Amino acid sequence: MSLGLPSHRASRTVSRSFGRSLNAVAYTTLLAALVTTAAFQFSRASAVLWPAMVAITPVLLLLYLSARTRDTLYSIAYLVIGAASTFWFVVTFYSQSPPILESDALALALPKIALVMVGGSAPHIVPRLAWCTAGYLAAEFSTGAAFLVTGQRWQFDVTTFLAYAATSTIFIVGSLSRRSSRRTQPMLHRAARDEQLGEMRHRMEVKAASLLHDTVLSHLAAIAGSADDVLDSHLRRQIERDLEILIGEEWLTEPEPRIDRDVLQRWERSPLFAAISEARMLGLEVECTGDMDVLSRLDQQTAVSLGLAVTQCLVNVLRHSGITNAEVAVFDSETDVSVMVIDAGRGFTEAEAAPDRLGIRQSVRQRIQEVGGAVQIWSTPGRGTSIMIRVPALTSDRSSEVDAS
Amino acid sequence: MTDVERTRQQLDPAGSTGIAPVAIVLALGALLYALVMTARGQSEISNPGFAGLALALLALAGIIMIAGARVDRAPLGARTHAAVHAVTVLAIVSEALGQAGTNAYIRNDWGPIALGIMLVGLGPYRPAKEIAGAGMVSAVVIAVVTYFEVPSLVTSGPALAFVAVAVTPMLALALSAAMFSHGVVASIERWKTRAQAASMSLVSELREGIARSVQQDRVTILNRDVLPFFTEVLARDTITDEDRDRGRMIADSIRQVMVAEVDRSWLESLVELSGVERTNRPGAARVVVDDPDRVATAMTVAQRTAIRALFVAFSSIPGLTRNHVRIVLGDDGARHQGLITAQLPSTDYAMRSTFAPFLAVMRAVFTSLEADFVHPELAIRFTYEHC
Repeated sequence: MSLGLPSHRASRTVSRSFGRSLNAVAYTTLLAALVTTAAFQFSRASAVLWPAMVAITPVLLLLYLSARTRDTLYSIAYLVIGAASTFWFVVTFYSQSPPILESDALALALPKIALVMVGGSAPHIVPRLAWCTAGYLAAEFSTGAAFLVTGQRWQFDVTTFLAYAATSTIFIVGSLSRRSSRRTQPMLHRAARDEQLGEMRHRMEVKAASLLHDTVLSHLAAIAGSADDVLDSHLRRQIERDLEILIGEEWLTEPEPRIDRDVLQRWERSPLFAAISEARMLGLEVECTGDMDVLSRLDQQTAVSLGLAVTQCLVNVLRHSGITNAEVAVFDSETDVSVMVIDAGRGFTEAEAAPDRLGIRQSVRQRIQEVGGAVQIWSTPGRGTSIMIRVPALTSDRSSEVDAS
Repeated sequence: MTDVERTRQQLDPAGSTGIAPVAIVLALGALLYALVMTARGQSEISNPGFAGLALALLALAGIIMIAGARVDRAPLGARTHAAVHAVTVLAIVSEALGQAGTNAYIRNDWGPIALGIMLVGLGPYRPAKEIAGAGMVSAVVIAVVTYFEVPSLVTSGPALAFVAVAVTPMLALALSAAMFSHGVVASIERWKTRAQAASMSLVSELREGIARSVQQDRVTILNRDVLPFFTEVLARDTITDEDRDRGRMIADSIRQVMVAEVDRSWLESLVELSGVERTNRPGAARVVVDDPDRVATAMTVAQRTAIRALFVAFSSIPGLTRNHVRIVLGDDGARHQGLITAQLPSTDYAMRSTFAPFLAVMRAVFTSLEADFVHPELAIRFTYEHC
């Protein structure tokens, strides 16, 4: 989404763009002056009009320089040289015998309009209007002088005056109309930031929920369902370990994402990256979170199986969830690497799952169990689906427990 | 939502709610200029019918542009531009027909300059390429029309010179409008890239704090029931029937909390955590938000942001609380639809200026949007696509 420009930038941007649009007018009129002069020269070979064309050249050069550097000195030079050139331009036309144009001819207004457009470099409305006025006066004085020198009758030049009036009006109306949005921008940017933070918080809540589900709820279920009156020593160890982690450590803190070229390369070569790219090609928006480098703790076969299983999960999201985005979270523990595929789509109960949901059972569960891993699925109709795939990491012994939930 | 075009209006909807007056002034200016020029060049008119038609067509083009520039009609699309442009070109042709055989001075022809002024008016609404391209095409039309007028001109000279003089004002204004559009769009895009980077770094700065707060919420729940229970069982090393029941009960209650949290839509979180008045009040969402089909989740990030921004605007109105706001979301089969109502203390005029930018942003991201204000109720109806 485009929030637009904050007000402090907006006025500068609009004013700079105004400047560019003035330059465009100046370029066009100067080039048109060249074309017109050339056309007259070719149509009447006896006339000497090339000095008018020579007069336009330094103005074009100074226009280029002042537009490029936005330097006041160049703007002043543009005005002074421009006025002199306009004088020369008009005198050239009137020195022809018989005279080629009348004193208010449009062709003579072309370099004058270019002078009016001098305000390009000024940042604010008042100096800009001042520049424009200076340009207009310079243009009128130089043509007035040309009329005196060549003995022409002076006539008011409506075209140049209109160009001046229109430009000034656009400046004024444009600067008045910008005041209304000053208060809005900060609110919009706060909303955009809140949205990002809200999204992040929600992701963390989902992650926390699945972690609690994995640990506390499963221990509670184990206690509630235990047939024995004595606490199983394995369960006891697990409870003790998990409590220590849940209360004592910062288990939700995600490491700051840092871009490391090697890590990026390793990640882009991994089968999991291929799976995600494939899903993206099919039209799924996949967001990846977590530490992708932990994938380097997998042996080749496990990595390939994990990639294939994730492909199947993402294909399922596309086929069944009814939405087109999913999250893939990667994290690891001492013994294994976990990948969670989360979507906020339709969800399902395993009982009502369509026959091709078997994809999950076959392509995902079986494949992962073959490399010594485990798959867990949480899904509620209407509330989305999370699939946790856990595979053993290289540094550990391969006999990590298989979660049969 | 349609694809966003590279125009100032669409890339900066909030910032361009105030630019409509520019279009109005320019349309009126073009018409005034045409009237003055027609009056000045009366002697050149051979066919008053066409001359009158030309003015009428220009007025029509102005009306189309002013209507299209209205904030509640945003965005002004290529069709409106095409209509304004085509009608103005017809006006140019009609003006030429009105002076057929009697046109004495190019400088009295208002057509090309009027078209140029209209294009300047369209600058904030249409992409640079479109304005420049259409301007070039019309330049050819003006060139052809002028070519046929050359024989009747008072001043003698080469046709190319007159064609250049006739085309230049329109071309200059068209290119200047295109440069304006390009300059603003490029700047907005540059700013967006930088703002995104800054916001990413801010989010990653806050990441840890949020993680800690989410974890703290869980630890609080654990400390209340789970921890004492586990500690007790671990200490005894035996499991009684009572433990089994208690374990089941605690599991149920935790699961309920978890499900409620995970299920809570962003909109409900917005209302409860960061909504109007920005005070936490669990349960408020159920009063404010009515979303039986749970379609809030189908909104895109842009749509969510627009609604969040509206809520930020609500929260800035003194005296307005959650009790004054209600959101109903539903689905009519083809599209999701929403209705936001708020009881506002402000008057009509204040309401318009306060909410216009936010409504403009919403209009830019939702499929359709209608806003009505009948004091004291502001009602915003919108629809959005299934995702």
